[in-house]
Amino acid sequence: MEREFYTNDLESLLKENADQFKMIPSKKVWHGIYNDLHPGRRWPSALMSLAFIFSLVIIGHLNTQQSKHSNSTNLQNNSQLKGTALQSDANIGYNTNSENKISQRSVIPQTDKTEEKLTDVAVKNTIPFANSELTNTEKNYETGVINTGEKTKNGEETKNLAIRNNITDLEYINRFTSPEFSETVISPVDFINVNINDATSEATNDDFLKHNEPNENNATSFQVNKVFNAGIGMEPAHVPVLKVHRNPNVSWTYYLSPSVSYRTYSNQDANITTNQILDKDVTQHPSAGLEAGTIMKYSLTKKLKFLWGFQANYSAYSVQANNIHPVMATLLLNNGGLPYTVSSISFYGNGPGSAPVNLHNYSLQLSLPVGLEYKIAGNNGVQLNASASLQPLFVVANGAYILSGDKKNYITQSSLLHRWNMSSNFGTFISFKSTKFNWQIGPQVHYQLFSSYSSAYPLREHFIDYGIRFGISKIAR
Amino acid sequence: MLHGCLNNIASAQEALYNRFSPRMLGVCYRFARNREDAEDMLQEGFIKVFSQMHQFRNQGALEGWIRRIVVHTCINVLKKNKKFADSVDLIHANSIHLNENNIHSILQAKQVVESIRLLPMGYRTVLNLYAIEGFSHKEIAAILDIEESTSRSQYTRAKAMLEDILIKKNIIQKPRMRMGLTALTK
Repeated sequence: MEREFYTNDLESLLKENADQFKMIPSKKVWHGIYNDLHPGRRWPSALMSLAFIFSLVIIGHLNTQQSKHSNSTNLQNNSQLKGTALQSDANIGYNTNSENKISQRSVIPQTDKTEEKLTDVAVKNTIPFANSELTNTEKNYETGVINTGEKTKNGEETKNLAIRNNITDLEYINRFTSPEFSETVISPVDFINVNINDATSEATNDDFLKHNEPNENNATSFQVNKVFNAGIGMEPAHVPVLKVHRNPNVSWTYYLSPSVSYRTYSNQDANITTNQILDKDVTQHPSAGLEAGTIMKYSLTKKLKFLWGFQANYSAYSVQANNIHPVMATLLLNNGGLPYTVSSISFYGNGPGSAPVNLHNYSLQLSLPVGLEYKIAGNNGVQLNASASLQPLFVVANGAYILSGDKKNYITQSSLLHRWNMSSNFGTFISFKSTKFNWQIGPQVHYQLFSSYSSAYPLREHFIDYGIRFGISKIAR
Repeated sequence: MLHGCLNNIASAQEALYNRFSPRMLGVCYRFARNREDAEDMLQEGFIKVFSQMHQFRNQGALEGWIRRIVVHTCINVLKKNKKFADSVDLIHANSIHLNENNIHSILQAKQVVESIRLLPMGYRTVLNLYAIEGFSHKEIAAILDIEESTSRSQYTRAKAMLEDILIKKNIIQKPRMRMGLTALTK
């Protein structure tokens, strides 16, 4: 410096106070420096982010596939008559029984083909099996599907069935499946689909057959149309069998776990207060927590399953304190063995104050559970299982009132909070098998393995949740 | 630690960063508009510190050397973002009104720093460099690309405005005739 540092009262005051002023930088500053100085090394958060994004994509993809199957199956399920289906777009279901009333919901596209609309469709058929007399008396006003009401004598005469509709060719294969079986047989009394290529013209099943010779892609559809013929005029013995395969080793579980959340304290430094002493000085209570997510289970053996999924977790506890006149509270911190203090204004304390206040310490986390599930006992209907998982997690949002060094005040200091953490989960549950789903219920414990606070803060806080898990599981297709 | 930093060892760099970053962030905070800007300055400053570590001669205090780099980084960031140039206007500065609601009377160091940050950017920068960092007006003029007389006049005005702020915050008392300012003991 060239000048003699002239100081008057003000300048000395400024210098003195400015030199005392310290702030704790957030973690991202060091991460930025680290990544700049060591570009070849991967920061764990980058890997975690990639794993997180990858998991979301996989889960989304698998769920989308599953929902497509579900749409098809739902159409069948809504049918009043088992095995009878009326498909959207020109797919009309005929039942080989006579005097059947079919009412169901069908997905029917609009004329601009840009959106689909659910429409109740009611069709009344009279189709004697031998005589094949067909009468449709109701029509679908939404799409203009009109049955001319002409009677047919046999399968050849179904040409007279006119369907005026703005629809295109579509091949739907309705898969009748039930979760109990890995394959399902469609019989003549199930349903038959007819595809109409030209909506504005008359179309027949024969036309469709001519234009849709069986090949690798539409073999199943072709078989189903043969079922149509069999249902009307052919021998039942010629009816082909449609087999739908699924993978029983993979299942999806969706679960929700209300819980009671609390925290445990441990110390990095023996000189700082112990857990028991701390509990005498502070008044903190458990709060309600919640856990929800989805898990894919893959059977490794008959009793052991691998778990992998995505979960959101909310843990919290309440701190009973008092509103006090703002005071300076000091945090005793430690950086690599070098102790230092950070002071901040505190508005809440454990001592006497103007009014009691309930502070809320919480953490909202997204995690990727990876673990194992073991079947302890049971049969196909009822089972007792135990599961354990590790969950790398990212803290989406949190709120923390940190205890000052003298344990008298609470300070908010977000820079001391970890964004990445790891938790473990252990639980047992009983599963019940219903017709389509597997229901689960059982207790579980969720424990945060690493402290919520950075290593600079001497006190370690670990969230712990005791909850009841309610789950619903289904075999993936 | 220094040896480790010279060898680009991450643990040594982190130890040095942990030791000096709180104080350096305080320095950056006085120059910056907000905490986010201050952290950006700190990050850039420490990257320079580690990349220029071989230039440290061990002849003075390490903290002073780091601080000098950080201060220059802050100035460069302000100049690069034109935040400094846009706010040197003295007329604009005179129209600043204090918000009494922002006044706290608890932490003097924090209050003083926050009071400095109430000043317009141009005033604040000159005051920081002259009164706290110990630069001369000639050095400040060179750093900020302004006239030396401008630096002097800005400092005078900044000092007067800051005195006014500190008096309103009850951090200092009004000076009596031929007597200096008196800091209140909290």
